[in-house]
Amino acid sequence: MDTITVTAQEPFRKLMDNEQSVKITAKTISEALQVLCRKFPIMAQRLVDKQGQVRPFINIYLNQEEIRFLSRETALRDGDEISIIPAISGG
Amino acid sequence: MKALKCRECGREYPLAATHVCEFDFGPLEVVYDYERIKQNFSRATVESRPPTMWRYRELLPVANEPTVGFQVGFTPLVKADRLARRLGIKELWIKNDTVNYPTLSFKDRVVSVALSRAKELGFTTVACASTGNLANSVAANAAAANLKAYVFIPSDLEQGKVVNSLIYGANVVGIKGHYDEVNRLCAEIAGKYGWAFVNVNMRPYYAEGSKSMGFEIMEQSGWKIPKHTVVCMASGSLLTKIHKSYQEFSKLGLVQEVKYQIHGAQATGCSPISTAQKAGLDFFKPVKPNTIAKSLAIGTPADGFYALKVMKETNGSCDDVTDDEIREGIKLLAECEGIFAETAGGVTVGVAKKLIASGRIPANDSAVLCITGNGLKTLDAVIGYTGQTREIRPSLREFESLLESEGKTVPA
Repeated sequence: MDTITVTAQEPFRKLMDNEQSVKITAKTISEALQVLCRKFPIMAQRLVDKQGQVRPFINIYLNQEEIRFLSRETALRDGDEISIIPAISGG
Repeated sequence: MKALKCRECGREYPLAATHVCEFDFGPLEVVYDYERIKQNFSRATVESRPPTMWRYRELLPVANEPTVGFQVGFTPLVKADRLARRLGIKELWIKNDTVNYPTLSFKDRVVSVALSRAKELGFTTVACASTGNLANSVAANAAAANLKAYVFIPSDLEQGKVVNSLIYGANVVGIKGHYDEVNRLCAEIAGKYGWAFVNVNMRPYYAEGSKSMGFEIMEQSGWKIPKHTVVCMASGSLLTKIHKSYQEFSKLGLVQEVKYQIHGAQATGCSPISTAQKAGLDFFKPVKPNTIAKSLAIGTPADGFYALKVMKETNGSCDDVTDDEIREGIKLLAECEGIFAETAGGVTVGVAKKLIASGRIPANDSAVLCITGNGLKTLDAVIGYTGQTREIRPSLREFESLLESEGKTVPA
Protein backbone atom coordinates (compact mmCIF):
# COMPACT_ATOMS: atom_id res chain seq x y z
CA MET A 1 0.00 0.00 0.00
CA ASP A 2 1.22 3.51 -0.81
CA THR A 3 1.53 6.16 1.86
CA ILE A 4 -0.18 9.46 1.10
CA THR A 5 0.17 12.64 3.12
CA VAL A 6 -3.02 14.62 3.58
CA THR A 7 -2.66 18.27 4.66
CA ALA A 8 -5.46 20.64 5.55
CA GLN A 9 -5.55 24.43 5.84
CA GLU A 10 -7.70 26.20 8.37
CA PRO A 11 -10.62 25.85 8.89
CA PHE A 12 -10.45 22.25 7.68
CA ARG A 13 -8.00 21.09 10.32
CA LYS A 14 -10.78 20.53 12.79
CA LEU A 15 -11.98 17.83 10.42
CA MET A 16 -8.72 16.00 11.10
CA ASP A 17 -8.69 16.26 14.91
CA ASN A 18 -6.78 19.57 14.56
CA GLU A 19 -3.85 17.87 12.86
CA GLN A 20 -2.15 19.82 10.09
CA SER A 21 -1.34 16.61 8.24
CA VAL A 22 -2.03 12.90 8.49
CA LYS A 23 -0.70 9.89 6.65
CA ILE A 24 -3.05 7.39 5.04
CA THR A 25 -2.71 4.48 2.67
CA ALA A 26 -4.84 4.31 -0.46
CA LYS A 27 -4.53 3.26 -4.08
CA THR A 28 -6.83 5.79 -5.75
CA ILE A 29 -8.33 9.23 -5.10
CA SER A 30 -11.68 7.61 -4.48
CA GLU A 31 -10.21 5.24 -1.91
CA ALA A 32 -8.30 8.09 -0.24
CA LEU A 33 -11.57 10.02 0.25
CA GLN A 34 -13.25 6.90 1.65
CA VAL A 35 -10.33 6.27 4.03
CA LEU A 36 -10.45 9.88 5.23
CA CYS A 37 -14.21 9.76 5.79
CA ARG A 38 -13.86 6.52 7.77
CA LYS A 39 -10.95 7.85 9.82
CA PHE A 40 -12.69 11.18 10.48
CA PRO A 41 -16.46 10.58 10.25
CA ILE A 42 -17.13 14.34 10.39
CA MET A 43 -15.54 14.60 6.93
CA ALA A 44 -18.26 12.40 5.48
CA GLN A 45 -20.78 15.04 6.55
CA ARG A 46 -18.87 18.20 5.76
CA LEU A 47 -16.33 17.56 3.02
CA VAL A 48 -18.57 15.82 0.52
CA ASP A 49 -22.27 15.97 -0.24
CA LYS A 50 -24.72 13.07 -0.28
CA GLN A 51 -23.64 12.10 -3.80
CA GLY A 52 -20.01 11.91 -2.68
CA GLN A 53 -19.10 15.10 -4.57
CA VAL A 54 -16.70 17.57 -2.96
CA ARG A 55 -18.71 20.53 -1.68
CA PRO A 56 -18.53 23.63 -3.89
CA PHE A 57 -16.51 25.84 -1.56
CA ILE A 58 -13.78 23.28 -0.99
CA ASN A 59 -10.89 22.47 -3.31
CA ILE A 60 -8.94 19.24 -2.95
CA TYR A 61 -5.61 18.87 -4.72
CA LEU A 62 -3.59 15.78 -5.57
CA ASN A 63 -0.09 17.24 -5.64
CA GLN A 64 -0.57 20.28 -7.96
CA GLU A 65 -3.82 19.15 -9.59
CA GLU A 66 -7.36 19.88 -8.41
CA ILE A 67 -9.16 16.55 -8.19
CA ARG A 68 -12.20 17.87 -10.07
CA PHE A 69 -9.93 17.66 -13.16
CA LEU A 70 -8.99 14.06 -12.42
CA SER A 71 -10.75 10.73 -12.49
CA ARG A 72 -11.64 9.45 -9.06
CA GLU A 73 -9.84 6.25 -10.08
CA THR A 74 -6.54 8.06 -10.62
CA ALA A 75 -3.82 5.89 -9.11
CA LEU A 76 -1.91 7.26 -6.14
CA ARG A 77 1.80 6.78 -5.71
CA ASP A 78 3.91 6.51 -2.61
CA GLY A 79 4.73 10.02 -1.39
CA ASP A 80 1.76 11.76 -3.11
CA GLU A 81 0.24 14.70 -1.28
CA ILE A 82 -3.42 15.57 -0.97
CA SER A 83 -4.29 19.08 0.25
CA ILE A 84 -7.67 20.43 1.34
CA ILE A 85 -8.03 24.15 0.72
CA PRO A 86 -10.92 26.64 0.85
CA ALA A 87 -12.02 28.29 -2.41
CA ILE A 88 -10.79 31.87 -2.67
CA SER A 89 -12.30 34.91 -4.36
CA GLY A 90 -10.39 36.71 -7.11
CA GLY A 91 -8.34 38.43 -8.56
CA MET B 1 -22.03 46.27 10.33
CA LYS B 2 -23.85 43.75 12.43
CA ALA B 3 -22.04 40.43 11.96
CA LEU B 4 -20.53 38.00 9.50
CA LYS B 5 -23.02 35.44 8.29
CA CYS B 6 -22.62 32.16 6.39
CA ARG B 7 -24.25 32.43 2.97
CA GLU B 8 -25.17 28.76 3.16
CA CYS B 9 -26.43 27.98 6.66
CA GLY B 10 -26.93 31.49 8.04
CA ARG B 11 -24.79 31.00 11.17
CA GLU B 12 -23.43 34.30 12.45
CA TYR B 13 -19.84 35.08 13.43
CA PRO B 14 -18.08 38.03 15.09
CA LEU B 15 -16.66 40.72 12.83
CA ALA B 16 -13.11 39.29 12.77
CA ALA B 17 -10.61 38.40 10.01
CA THR B 18 -12.28 35.18 8.97
CA HIS B 19 -13.98 34.09 5.78
CA VAL B 20 -15.34 30.56 6.00
CA CYS B 21 -18.13 29.01 8.06
CA GLU B 22 -16.76 26.44 10.48
CA PHE B 23 -19.74 24.16 9.93
CA ASP B 24 -20.31 23.89 6.20
CA PHE B 25 -17.35 25.97 4.89
CA GLY B 26 -19.71 28.32 3.09
CA PRO B 27 -18.40 31.85 2.49
CA LEU B 28 -19.10 34.48 5.12
CA GLU B 29 -20.74 37.76 4.20
CA VAL B 30 -21.17 41.02 6.10
CA VAL B 31 -24.71 41.74 7.28
CA TYR B 32 -26.01 45.13 8.31
CA ASP B 33 -28.73 46.51 10.54
CA TYR B 34 -30.82 48.03 7.76
CA GLU B 35 -33.53 49.35 10.08
CA ARG B 36 -30.91 51.37 11.92
CA ILE B 37 -29.19 52.55 8.75
CA LYS B 38 -32.55 53.64 7.31
CA GLN B 39 -33.01 56.19 10.11
CA ASN B 40 -30.09 58.40 9.04
CA PHE B 41 -29.28 57.44 5.48
CA SER B 42 -31.07 59.30 2.71
CA ARG B 43 -30.42 60.61 -0.78
CA ALA B 44 -29.77 64.03 0.76
CA THR B 45 -27.20 62.59 3.19
CA VAL B 46 -25.34 60.91 0.34
CA GLU B 47 -25.49 63.97 -1.92
CA SER B 48 -24.07 66.20 0.82
CA ARG B 49 -20.87 64.15 0.99
CA PRO B 50 -17.70 64.29 -1.14
CA PRO B 51 -17.88 62.43 -4.49
CA THR B 52 -16.11 59.23 -3.49
CA MET B 53 -17.27 55.69 -2.78
CA TRP B 54 -17.28 56.53 0.92
CA ARG B 55 -20.43 58.63 0.52
CA TYR B 56 -22.19 55.25 1.04
CA ARG B 57 -20.09 54.34 4.09
CA GLU B 58 -23.04 53.10 6.18
CA LEU B 59 -23.28 50.23 3.67
CA LEU B 60 -19.56 49.52 3.63
CA PRO B 61 -17.95 47.27 6.27
CA VAL B 62 -15.82 49.60 8.38
CA ALA B 63 -16.54 50.32 12.02
CA ASN B 64 -15.15 53.87 11.99
CA GLU B 65 -14.16 56.49 9.44
CA PRO B 66 -12.16 54.90 6.58
CA THR B 67 -8.39 55.25 6.87
CA VAL B 68 -7.33 54.00 3.43
CA GLY B 69 -8.38 55.27 0.00
CA PHE B 70 -10.45 58.35 0.87
CA GLN B 71 -10.57 59.44 -2.76
CA VAL B 72 -11.54 56.16 -4.39
CA GLY B 73 -14.60 55.82 -6.59
CA PHE B 74 -17.33 58.04 -7.99
CA THR B 75 -16.00 57.40 -11.46
CA PRO B 76 -17.93 58.77 -14.45
CA LEU B 77 -21.09 57.15 -15.79
CA VAL B 78 -20.75 58.08 -19.45
CA LYS B 79 -23.65 58.18 -21.92
CA ALA B 80 -22.26 56.21 -24.83
CA ASP B 81 -24.35 57.27 -27.83
CA ARG B 82 -21.84 56.35 -30.52
CA LEU B 83 -21.25 52.88 -29.07
CA ALA B 84 -25.01 52.47 -28.62
CA ARG B 85 -25.49 53.06 -32.35
CA ARG B 86 -22.73 50.58 -33.22
CA LEU B 87 -24.18 47.92 -30.94
CA GLY B 88 -27.74 48.62 -32.03
CA ILE B 89 -29.32 49.64 -28.73
CA LYS B 90 -31.43 52.69 -27.86
CA GLU B 91 -29.44 53.81 -24.81
CA LEU B 92 -26.07 52.74 -23.45
CA TRP B 93 -24.02 53.87 -20.47
CA ILE B 94 -20.44 53.10 -19.52
CA LYS B 95 -19.51 52.94 -15.84
CA ASN B 96 -15.93 53.96 -16.35
CA ASP B 97 -13.64 52.47 -13.71
CA THR B 98 -10.68 52.75 -16.09
CA VAL B 99 -10.14 56.05 -14.28
CA ASN B 100 -10.66 54.85 -10.74
CA TYR B 101 -8.22 56.30 -8.23
CA PRO B 102 -5.36 55.51 -7.65
CA THR B 103 -4.56 52.42 -9.78
CA LEU B 104 -7.09 52.66 -12.60
CA SER B 105 -9.28 49.66 -11.86
CA PHE B 106 -12.36 48.82 -9.79
CA LYS B 107 -10.05 46.94 -7.42
CA ASP B 108 -9.29 50.21 -5.62
CA ARG B 109 -12.84 49.99 -4.29
CA VAL B 110 -12.39 46.60 -2.66
CA VAL B 111 -8.87 47.32 -1.48
CA SER B 112 -9.68 50.58 0.27
CA VAL B 113 -12.36 48.72 2.23
CA ALA B 114 -10.16 45.69 2.96
CA LEU B 115 -7.20 47.78 4.12
CA SER B 116 -9.31 50.17 6.18
CA ARG B 117 -10.82 47.18 7.93
CA ALA B 118 -7.39 45.48 8.25
CA LYS B 119 -6.09 48.54 10.08
CA GLU B 120 -9.11 48.51 12.36
CA LEU B 121 -8.33 44.88 13.19
CA GLY B 122 -4.70 45.75 13.98
CA PHE B 123 -2.87 44.26 10.97
CA THR B 124 0.40 45.80 9.78
CA THR B 125 1.07 43.49 6.81
CA VAL B 126 -1.39 43.00 3.96
CA ALA B 127 -1.27 40.53 1.10
CA CYS B 128 -3.22 39.20 -1.86
CA ALA B 129 -3.35 36.62 -4.60
CA SER B 130 -3.93 38.49 -7.81
CA THR B 131 -4.34 38.40 -11.55
CA GLY B 132 -2.75 41.86 -11.60
CA ASN B 133 -5.20 44.65 -10.87
CA LEU B 134 -5.67 43.66 -7.26
CA ALA B 135 -1.89 43.45 -6.84
CA ASN B 136 -1.52 47.00 -8.19
CA SER B 137 -4.16 48.31 -5.86
CA VAL B 138 -2.90 46.53 -2.74
CA ALA B 139 0.65 47.72 -3.50
CA ALA B 140 -0.39 51.34 -3.99
CA ASN B 141 -2.90 51.67 -1.19
CA ALA B 142 -0.62 49.83 1.26
CA ALA B 143 2.21 52.23 0.41
CA ALA B 144 0.00 55.25 1.08
CA ALA B 145 -1.31 53.71 4.30
CA ASN B 146 2.15 52.71 5.57
CA LEU B 147 1.34 48.99 5.52
CA LYS B 148 3.76 46.29 4.44
CA ALA B 149 2.52 44.46 1.33
CA TYR B 150 3.11 41.04 -0.20
CA VAL B 151 1.45 40.36 -3.53
CA PHE B 152 1.40 37.01 -5.29
CA ILE B 153 0.79 36.91 -9.04
CA PRO B 154 1.10 34.40 -11.90
CA SER B 155 4.62 34.91 -13.29
CA ASP B 156 3.34 35.29 -16.89
CA LEU B 157 1.34 38.48 -16.19
CA GLU B 158 1.45 41.49 -18.49
CA GLN B 159 4.60 43.53 -17.85
CA GLY B 160 2.49 46.64 -17.19
CA LYS B 161 0.75 45.00 -14.27
CA VAL B 162 4.02 43.72 -12.79
CA VAL B 163 5.73 47.12 -12.93
CA ASN B 164 2.59 48.73 -11.55
CA SER B 165 2.99 46.67 -8.39
CA LEU B 166 6.78 46.88 -8.03
CA ILE B 167 6.90 50.66 -8.29
CA TYR B 168 5.16 51.07 -4.92
CA GLY B 169 7.82 49.03 -3.13
CA ALA B 170 5.60 46.01 -2.50
CA ASN B 171 7.08 42.53 -2.22
CA VAL B 172 5.97 40.99 -5.51
CA VAL B 173 6.23 37.22 -5.82
CA GLY B 174 5.66 35.69 -9.26
CA ILE B 175 4.37 32.14 -9.11
CA LYS B 176 5.05 29.75 -11.95
CA GLY B 177 1.46 28.73 -12.51
CA HIS B 178 -1.98 30.16 -13.29
CA TYR B 179 -4.11 32.17 -10.87
CA ASP B 180 -5.81 29.15 -9.34
CA GLU B 181 -2.41 27.80 -8.38
CA VAL B 182 -1.40 31.18 -6.95
CA ASN B 183 -4.62 31.08 -4.97
CA ARG B 184 -3.87 27.67 -3.63
CA LEU B 185 -0.43 28.71 -2.43
CA CYS B 186 -1.92 31.85 -0.85
CA ALA B 187 -4.46 29.78 1.07
CA GLU B 188 -1.52 27.91 2.54
CA ILE B 189 0.49 31.06 3.24
CA ALA B 190 -2.56 32.74 4.77
CA GLY B 191 -2.99 29.76 7.07
CA LYS B 192 0.57 30.05 8.28
CA TYR B 193 1.26 33.80 8.47
CA GLY B 194 -0.81 36.25 10.44
CA TRP B 195 -1.36 38.70 7.58
CA ALA B 196 -4.46 40.39 6.31
CA PHE B 197 -4.92 38.57 3.00
CA VAL B 198 -7.43 40.80 1.29
CA ASN B 199 -9.04 38.00 -0.74
CA VAL B 200 -8.65 35.26 1.85
CA ASN B 201 -9.27 36.11 5.50
CA MET B 202 -10.42 39.69 4.69
CA ARG B 203 -12.65 38.56 1.85
CA PRO B 204 -16.03 39.27 3.48
CA TYR B 205 -15.03 42.94 3.89
CA TYR B 206 -13.06 43.21 0.65
CA ALA B 207 -15.89 41.91 -1.53
CA GLU B 208 -18.36 44.45 -0.11
CA GLY B 209 -16.32 47.28 -1.64
CA SER B 210 -17.62 46.25 -5.07
CA LYS B 211 -21.12 47.34 -4.05
CA SER B 212 -19.99 50.95 -4.34
CA MET B 213 -19.89 50.56 -8.13
CA GLY B 214 -23.58 49.64 -8.07
CA PHE B 215 -24.47 52.44 -5.63
CA GLU B 216 -22.81 54.95 -7.92
CA ILE B 217 -24.53 53.58 -11.03
CA MET B 218 -27.93 54.06 -9.35
CA GLU B 219 -27.20 57.55 -8.02
CA GLN B 220 -25.66 58.69 -11.31
CA SER B 221 -28.66 57.29 -13.21
CA GLY B 222 -30.88 59.66 -11.20
CA TRP B 223 -31.51 57.23 -8.31
CA LYS B 224 -32.71 54.44 -10.54
CA ILE B 225 -31.78 50.82 -11.06
CA PRO B 226 -30.76 50.25 -14.68
CA LYS B 227 -32.89 47.81 -16.64
CA HIS B 228 -29.81 45.91 -17.83
CA THR B 229 -26.32 45.75 -16.34
CA VAL B 230 -23.50 43.82 -18.03
CA VAL B 231 -20.66 42.76 -15.74
CA CYS B 232 -17.49 40.83 -16.54
CA MET B 233 -16.77 37.83 -14.36
CA ALA B 234 -13.60 36.31 -13.00
CA SER B 235 -14.58 34.88 -9.62
CA GLY B 236 -18.09 36.30 -10.16
CA SER B 237 -17.91 38.41 -7.01
CA LEU B 238 -18.47 41.83 -8.68
CA LEU B 239 -21.66 40.64 -10.35
CA THR B 240 -23.11 39.35 -7.08
CA LYS B 241 -22.20 42.59 -5.28
CA ILE B 242 -23.76 44.82 -7.95
CA HIS B 243 -26.92 42.79 -7.36
CA LYS B 244 -26.59 43.23 -3.60
CA SER B 245 -26.17 46.99 -4.04
CA TYR B 246 -29.40 47.21 -6.07
CA GLN B 247 -31.23 45.21 -3.43
CA GLU B 248 -29.88 47.32 -0.58
CA PHE B 249 -30.90 50.64 -2.13
CA SER B 250 -34.35 49.18 -2.84
CA LYS B 251 -34.64 47.94 0.73
CA LEU B 252 -33.67 51.36 2.10
CA GLY B 253 -36.17 53.10 -0.18
CA LEU B 254 -33.47 55.08 -2.00
CA VAL B 255 -34.58 53.73 -5.36
CA GLN B 256 -37.85 52.36 -6.62
CA GLU B 257 -38.05 48.60 -6.57
CA VAL B 258 -38.14 47.52 -10.19
CA LYS B 259 -37.35 44.46 -12.25
CA TYR B 260 -33.81 44.44 -13.60
CA GLN B 261 -31.51 42.00 -15.33
CA ILE B 262 -27.86 41.41 -14.56
CA HIS B 263 -25.87 39.79 -17.36
CA GLY B 264 -22.48 38.11 -17.04
CA ALA B 265 -19.53 38.27 -19.44
CA GLN B 266 -16.56 35.93 -19.69
CA ALA B 267 -13.71 35.18 -22.05
CA THR B 268 -14.24 31.97 -24.02
CA GLY B 269 -10.78 30.84 -22.92
CA CYS B 270 -11.93 30.88 -19.32
CA SER B 271 -15.69 30.55 -19.24
CA PRO B 272 -16.76 28.13 -16.50
CA ILE B 273 -19.66 30.35 -15.38
CA SER B 274 -20.84 31.22 -18.88
CA THR B 275 -20.70 27.56 -19.96
CA ALA B 276 -22.78 26.52 -16.94
CA GLN B 277 -25.31 29.34 -17.43
CA LYS B 278 -25.81 28.55 -21.09
CA ALA B 279 -26.32 24.87 -20.24
CA GLY B 280 -28.88 25.82 -17.58
CA LEU B 281 -26.76 24.40 -14.75
CA ASP B 282 -26.51 25.68 -11.17
CA PHE B 283 -22.92 24.48 -10.81
CA PHE B 284 -19.88 25.08 -12.96
CA LYS B 285 -17.05 22.79 -13.94
CA PRO B 286 -13.60 24.27 -13.25
CA VAL B 287 -11.42 24.97 -16.29
CA LYS B 288 -7.78 25.71 -17.05
CA PRO B 289 -7.64 29.29 -18.35
CA ASN B 290 -6.22 30.19 -21.74
CA THR B 291 -7.19 33.74 -22.68
CA ILE B 292 -5.67 37.18 -23.22
CA ALA B 293 -8.12 38.45 -20.57
CA LYS B 294 -5.74 37.54 -17.78
CA SER B 295 -7.59 39.62 -15.22
CA LEU B 296 -10.56 37.27 -15.73
CA ALA B 297 -8.50 34.07 -15.87
CA ILE B 298 -9.89 32.29 -12.83
CA GLY B 299 -10.76 28.71 -13.68
CA THR B 300 -12.24 27.89 -10.28
CA PRO B 301 -14.44 30.92 -9.58
CA ALA B 302 -15.23 31.09 -5.88
CA ASP B 303 -18.45 33.05 -6.41
CA GLY B 304 -19.44 31.25 -9.59
CA PHE B 305 -22.27 29.46 -7.87
CA TYR B 306 -23.73 32.73 -6.56
CA ALA B 307 -23.20 34.55 -9.86
CA LEU B 308 -25.25 31.84 -11.59
CA LYS B 309 -27.93 32.28 -8.95
CA VAL B 310 -28.10 36.06 -9.47
CA MET B 311 -28.41 35.70 -13.24
CA LYS B 312 -31.16 33.14 -12.76
CA GLU B 313 -33.04 35.28 -10.21
CA THR B 314 -32.86 38.42 -12.34
CA ASN B 315 -33.53 36.56 -15.60
CA GLY B 316 -30.14 37.72 -16.83
CA SER B 317 -28.09 36.17 -19.60
CA CYS B 318 -24.47 35.23 -19.99
CA ASP B 319 -22.06 34.75 -22.85
CA ASP B 320 -18.39 34.64 -23.68
CA VAL B 321 -16.11 36.03 -26.39
CA THR B 322 -12.92 34.91 -28.11
CA ASP B 323 -9.58 36.71 -27.93
CA ASP B 324 -10.26 38.37 -31.30
CA GLU B 325 -13.70 39.52 -30.14
CA ILE B 326 -12.09 40.89 -26.96
CA ARG B 327 -9.66 43.00 -29.00
CA GLU B 328 -12.54 44.14 -31.21
CA GLY B 329 -14.47 45.14 -28.07
CA ILE B 330 -11.53 47.15 -26.77
CA LYS B 331 -11.22 48.95 -30.12
CA LEU B 332 -14.95 49.61 -30.39
CA LEU B 333 -15.04 51.26 -26.97
CA ALA B 334 -11.92 53.27 -27.70
CA GLU B 335 -13.01 54.42 -31.17
CA CYS B 336 -16.59 55.23 -30.20
CA GLU B 337 -16.18 56.69 -26.74
CA GLY B 338 -12.51 57.53 -26.24
CA ILE B 339 -12.22 55.05 -23.41
CA PHE B 340 -9.28 52.65 -23.44
CA ALA B 341 -10.21 49.59 -21.40
CA GLU B 342 -8.13 46.57 -20.54
CA THR B 343 -9.01 43.13 -21.83
CA ALA B 344 -11.82 42.64 -19.30
CA GLY B 345 -13.52 45.74 -20.77
CA GLY B 346 -13.22 44.15 -24.22
CA VAL B 347 -14.98 41.11 -22.81
CA THR B 348 -17.85 43.23 -21.46
CA VAL B 349 -18.31 45.16 -24.71
CA GLY B 350 -17.99 42.00 -26.82
CA VAL B 351 -20.56 40.12 -24.78
CA ALA B 352 -22.92 43.13 -24.71
CA LYS B 353 -22.73 43.18 -28.51
CA LYS B 354 -23.73 39.50 -28.62
CA LEU B 355 -26.54 39.93 -26.09
CA ILE B 356 -28.00 42.88 -28.00
CA ALA B 357 -27.63 41.19 -31.40
CA SER B 358 -29.43 38.10 -30.13
CA GLY B 359 -32.21 40.11 -28.47
CA ARG B 360 -31.32 38.95 -24.97
CA ILE B 361 -30.92 42.67 -24.29
CA PRO B 362 -33.76 44.22 -26.35
CA ALA B 363 -32.71 46.94 -28.79
CA ASN B 364 -35.25 49.43 -27.41
CA ASP B 365 -33.94 49.16 -23.83
CA SER B 366 -31.19 50.86 -21.85
CA ALA B 367 -28.06 49.12 -20.54
CA VAL B 368 -25.05 49.90 -18.36
CA LEU B 369 -21.71 48.27 -19.10
CA CYS B 370 -19.32 47.96 -16.15
CA ILE B 371 -15.82 48.67 -17.46
CA THR B 372 -13.43 47.64 -14.74
CA GLY B 373 -9.85 48.43 -15.73
CA ASN B 374 -7.54 50.58 -17.85
CA GLY B 375 -6.08 49.53 -21.19
CA LEU B 376 -2.67 51.06 -20.45
CA LYS B 377 -2.07 48.05 -18.20
CA THR B 378 -2.61 45.44 -20.92
CA LEU B 379 -0.88 46.99 -23.93
CA ASP B 380 0.61 43.58 -24.75
CA ALA B 381 -2.87 42.33 -25.64
CA VAL B 382 -3.45 44.91 -28.41
CA ILE B 383 0.06 45.64 -29.72
CA GLY B 384 0.06 44.65 -33.39
CA TYR B 385 -3.73 44.97 -33.67
CA THR B 386 -4.10 48.74 -33.66
CA GLY B 387 -2.83 49.80 -37.08
CA GLN B 388 0.59 51.34 -37.67
CA THR B 389 2.11 54.79 -37.59
CA ARG B 390 3.21 56.05 -41.01
CA GLU B 391 6.61 57.70 -40.97
CA ILE B 392 7.56 60.62 -43.20
CA ARG B 393 10.27 63.23 -43.20
CA PRO B 394 9.31 66.67 -41.78
CA SER B 395 8.04 67.85 -45.15
CA LEU B 396 4.59 69.20 -46.06
CA ARG B 397 4.96 67.69 -49.53
CA GLU B 398 5.55 64.23 -48.08
CA PHE B 399 2.54 64.62 -45.82
CA GLU B 400 0.35 65.57 -48.77
CA SER B 401 1.72 62.62 -50.77
CA LEU B 402 0.81 60.39 -47.86
CA LEU B 403 -2.77 61.68 -47.79
CA GLU B 404 -3.01 61.32 -51.53
CA SER B 405 -1.64 57.76 -51.46
CA GLU B 406 -4.31 56.87 -48.94
CA GLY B 407 -7.00 58.38 -51.12
CA LYS B 408 -7.84 61.16 -48.67
CA THR B 409 -8.74 64.66 -49.83
CA VAL B 410 -5.98 67.20 -49.26
CA PRO B 411 -7.48 70.03 -47.17
CA ALA B 412 -7.50 73.49 -48.65
